Amino acid sequence: MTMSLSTSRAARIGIALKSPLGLVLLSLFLATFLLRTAPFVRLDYAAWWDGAGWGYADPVWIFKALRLAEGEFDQLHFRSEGLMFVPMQAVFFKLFGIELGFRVWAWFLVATSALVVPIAAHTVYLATGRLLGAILTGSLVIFDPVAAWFGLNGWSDGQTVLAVALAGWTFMLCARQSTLSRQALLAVALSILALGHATWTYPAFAWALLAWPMLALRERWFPRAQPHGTRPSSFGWARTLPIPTLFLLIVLLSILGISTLDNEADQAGGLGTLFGDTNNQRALVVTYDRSITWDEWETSDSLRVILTIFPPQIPNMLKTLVLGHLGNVIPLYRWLLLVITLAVFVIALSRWRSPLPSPIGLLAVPVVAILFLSQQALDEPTLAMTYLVLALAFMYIPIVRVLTLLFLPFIGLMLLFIPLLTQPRHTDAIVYYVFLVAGISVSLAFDSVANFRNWSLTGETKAFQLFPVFAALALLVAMGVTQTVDAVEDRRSEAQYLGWLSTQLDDKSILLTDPDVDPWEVRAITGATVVYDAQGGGRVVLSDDTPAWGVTASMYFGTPDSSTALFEELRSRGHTLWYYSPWDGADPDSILPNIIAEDPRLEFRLVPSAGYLEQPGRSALQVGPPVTKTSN
Amino acid sequence: MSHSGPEPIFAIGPLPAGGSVEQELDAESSYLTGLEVFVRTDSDDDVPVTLVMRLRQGRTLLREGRLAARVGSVITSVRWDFTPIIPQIDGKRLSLQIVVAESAQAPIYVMASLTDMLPGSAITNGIPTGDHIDVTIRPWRAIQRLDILRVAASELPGGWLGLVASASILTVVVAYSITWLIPANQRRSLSRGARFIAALIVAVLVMVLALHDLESSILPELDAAYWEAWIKFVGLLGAVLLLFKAGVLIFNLSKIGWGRLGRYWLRQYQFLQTVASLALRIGLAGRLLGRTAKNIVLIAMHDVYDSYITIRQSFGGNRELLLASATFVAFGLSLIAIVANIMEGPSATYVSIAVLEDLTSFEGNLDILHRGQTLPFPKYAGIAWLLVAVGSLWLRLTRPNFPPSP
Repeated sequence: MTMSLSTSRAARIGIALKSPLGLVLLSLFLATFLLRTAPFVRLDYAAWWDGAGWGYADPVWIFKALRLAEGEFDQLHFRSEGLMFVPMQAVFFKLFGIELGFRVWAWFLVATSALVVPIAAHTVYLATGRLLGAILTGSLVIFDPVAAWFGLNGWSDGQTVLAVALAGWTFMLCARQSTLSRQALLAVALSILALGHATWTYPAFAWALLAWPMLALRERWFPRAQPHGTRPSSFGWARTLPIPTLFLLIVLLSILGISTLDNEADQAGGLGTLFGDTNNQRALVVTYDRSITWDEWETSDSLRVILTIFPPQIPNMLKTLVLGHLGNVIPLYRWLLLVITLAVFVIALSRWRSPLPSPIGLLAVPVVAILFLSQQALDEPTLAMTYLVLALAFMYIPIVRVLTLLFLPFIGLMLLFIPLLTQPRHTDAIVYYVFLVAGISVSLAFDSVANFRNWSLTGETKAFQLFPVFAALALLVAMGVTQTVDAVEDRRSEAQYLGWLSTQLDDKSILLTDPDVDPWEVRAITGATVVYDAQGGGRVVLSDDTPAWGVTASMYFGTPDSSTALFEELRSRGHTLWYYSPWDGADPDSILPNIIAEDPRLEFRLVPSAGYLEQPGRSALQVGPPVTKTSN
Repeated sequence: MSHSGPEPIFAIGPLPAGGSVEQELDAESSYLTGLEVFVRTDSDDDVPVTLVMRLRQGRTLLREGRLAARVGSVITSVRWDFTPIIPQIDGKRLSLQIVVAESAQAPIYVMASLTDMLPGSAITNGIPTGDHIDVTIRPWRAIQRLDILRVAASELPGGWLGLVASASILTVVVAYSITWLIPANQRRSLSRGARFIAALIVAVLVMVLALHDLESSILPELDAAYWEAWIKFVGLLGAVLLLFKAGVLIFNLSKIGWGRLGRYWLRQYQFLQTVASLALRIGLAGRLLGRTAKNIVLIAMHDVYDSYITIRQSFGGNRELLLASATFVAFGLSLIAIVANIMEGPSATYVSIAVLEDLTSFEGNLDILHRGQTLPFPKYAGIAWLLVAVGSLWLRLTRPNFPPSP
């Protein structure tokens, strides 16, 4: 019996390895993992460096995760994305300690960010049964700069991108065959989405509600829908009711559970966290309606603004959304619109005698017509083409209609908050939606052509079709390998420089650094006291008597009158001040330290003290006297 | 082209017989066909004047000619026309020398400009004048239809070869991508080579027709509208081939017999029909094809009607066919709009992505057309889709069996 089980398992593994789909997804993951590894190794952004210097992660997620790892459960908060992202980070700190925990957490982020790509590709494959669109969507997600950035930079939005991908994937799984286990998976994914980020609470709720009828009617819009199996189909619409039910149960129980810890349970019987974003609502109302002041706001004002003042502003908001959050994020955006248009054209062409859109699809036409009446659309062809191309996909592809419906609440929310809070890290979910639309359109177009030409998936035809797929994958993997090798070489070179720099330092040296370094590695190699991100607040000081995280420069140095006074005092005590930043071809001339509170900030000269022969032009830099000019 | 405007109160002269004036100018485009200068005499009556005109590029004499005119005290423009200078002279420095011929009956004055629009200064009998004094010169070009192609060819790498290669690539891309999409038909007798040549001929004819509109443009090859003609080229060629392929599709899909004449036409005359009908449009059919072409056109017209009847039947009626055609027109307009969008410049940056070098991803814009030229296309496509929607709803409401199954 054991032997037969093992043989069976081996056979299944063998089939899985031989399956083009499995290999494609594995290759996509590998390529993405490598391509995401490169910026992390280069430290363009990492779990402790957000890549822009906003520093928001320090007091919010990192602080809470460290406290949570120490057992302070009152750090679990909903509104600061503290129910998913923070506990996960805390687990790593608990298991590995702070320094190693940061590094393992960073690799975990690389892996989860890479995981989005095969999930996206498989979502398209589930929807269409074709690899071409799956590869396209996967490739697009790989090169989404916002997904790559926020997937790795220690912000909770990376977790939201993964949750959106999981929700889309589990929804397609249910569309294919809506078994109870798959519905439970969808409910869990939507719950993660809702609890993981406050922007998704209500959109995820809407998604769960919409999934109920959409999946009950899946055979009408999903050509690849499989029957329910041997069970009788007499349940009707009740069959997919578990999705909203389970979703609501998970979310409400989680929030109530948190409220028992006395976190954010200020109203609504412990559910206050779901209704308590009054400050955002006040800001929203005050922004849209100048006649209302902050203190005058009432709940009814929010509804009034949304129903009366917001709708006429939608064309303006859409302009910002499309040009500021899609067009400038998606590489080769206009070409992607062309690809989608051509794909939809091929789909219509394949329906030769009946090339007209469905009646429901025609709903898109008056919507686009109304948007075209706005001067914004007339002035910006890219905006007008976005409306038109997405409308075409909506008109001809039922799956796109359903996806649009599922994303519409989120898109509406993002539009509403465009003047206040909406940022590309939030709207990357809409970018993901466009990628799904592109992949599905291309796959279905290819499907139309393949059916028309009677292409089969055997023999030479199969090889002919798979060749470009694997060529693309090979190219992606090769790009990943090249970039990663280059990045590793860069880091190795930096480590060598730090090793040389350590020979210039003594045991009283203080080394100020840039943010795009690994502070623990710098400390380990040089042995100096490290003031990490000296121009961004001196976020961490690493010395013999400080922990691996948590002591900032202002905590360590106290409150001297000025940087000049601080540096003079340190020098009088025998310390030497050095500066380190990764090599970018030239040494910096000066720095603008921001390690204590002072206004205006003083700029200090960097004085080369010894030349580094391995990299001509590079020196060991000491912090010199202040330069005469001042800067705010 | 850069030129200096004449100033009636300032003239270089009097230049007696044998006297000369020279002026440098920069050519801003190829295909120069003439130069206009402004002269007068002190005589109250018009007197015959002959000017020897020499145009040089460095030491190379590009053109030389004698320009005869009757000139009086009123400033008269005289234009020296010569055979077009096709080699690439754009950006090159030229020099015009005007010599008063021995036969001149009165000294002449060459009008000048003080606005220093031309390089260097006027040189009178070898003596330079002030830097700001230029002979008034207006470069001319008389260019039309195929001349524009000639200029375009001279601008492309490889000259005519480059132009033909470009057209061929476009033809191959359009024709064979559609061919690839639609299955081969055993009944078709035209070889791929023949189809390619026919498509190329159609393409060039369409190009010439489109360029007809540009005759009033001074520098058509530098005008964005010239490149729009290429878009039309691709669109129309694609449409022609699509129509041809559509015939095969309908034959395969509708399972309706075409009729003997229809099949004959499909086999033999489909491209000739297109060529002939286009030739008729531009008034060349009679000269090019004569009586034979007329017969072909008549056959083609008969075939078109026959095809129309068949297609109408397969679509279920005139209105259905019209609506389906409108749908494909709307698709065509949408594709033109998105291609035009790709060819224009970058969009405004509303939100920066901090980790990107340029703070924004590259949209893929080619920056060939300016926005004013691309703005109308999305609107046209939107109107077309609105018409399709209205027509579709109307047919759904009025026809019980609409739409027909694919």
